Amino acid sequence: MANPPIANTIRRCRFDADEMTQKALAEQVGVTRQTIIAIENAKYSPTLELAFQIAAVFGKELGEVFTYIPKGPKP
Amino acid sequence: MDHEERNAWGAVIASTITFLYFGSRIWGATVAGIYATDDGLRLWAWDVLWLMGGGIVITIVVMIAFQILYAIATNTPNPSFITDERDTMINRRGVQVTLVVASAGFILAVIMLARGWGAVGALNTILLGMAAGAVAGDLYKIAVYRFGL
Repeated sequence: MANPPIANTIRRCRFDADEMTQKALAEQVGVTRQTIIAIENAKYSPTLELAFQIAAVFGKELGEVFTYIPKGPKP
Repeated sequence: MDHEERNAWGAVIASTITFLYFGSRIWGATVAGIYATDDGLRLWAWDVLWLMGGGIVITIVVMIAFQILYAIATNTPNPSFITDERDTMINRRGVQVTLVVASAGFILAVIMLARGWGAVGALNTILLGMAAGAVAGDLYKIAVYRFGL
């Protein structure tokens, strides 16, 4: 399956936040650890609400954590 | 493993047991011509009602057993029971797969009737389509949990 065109810096943010674990982040935003793993690995695009919640945990703006990567024109 | 992924595995096992057991009984009765009598449709309906009731009991037992065995096998005395937005989305797509397969069974049954097959043959095809749909939906969910959305 194609990965969604949204990159994120969650792993970097967790590292900067005193090496926060995926489990701790999942608990703070009310999802499973598997969902955090899927988001980090760009296998799942979170809803806007969850994306805002994740950004808020790190005290960042949405755009600092999630970036939309537009698909380039086909050759 | 997610709570909902465990449920999907449990559902596949329960569906397989249910339809192997009751399906073989219904198939056996069909082949033996029990449903071809005047009272055949009523007997078929009773067998399917037993299948539904038995299916509910088997599903409950398998789900509980699967959760207990998972907790023992992975040494997690308090496994998570959280269901989140990703689970909801995966579940919705699984239902879509189930509906497509079950609908295909219904269409096949209508075609069979149009080509002169008996009512019991068509009803069995609808039943098989629903069973296959349920398993296909759960397998799809497991695949998405394993390989991504």
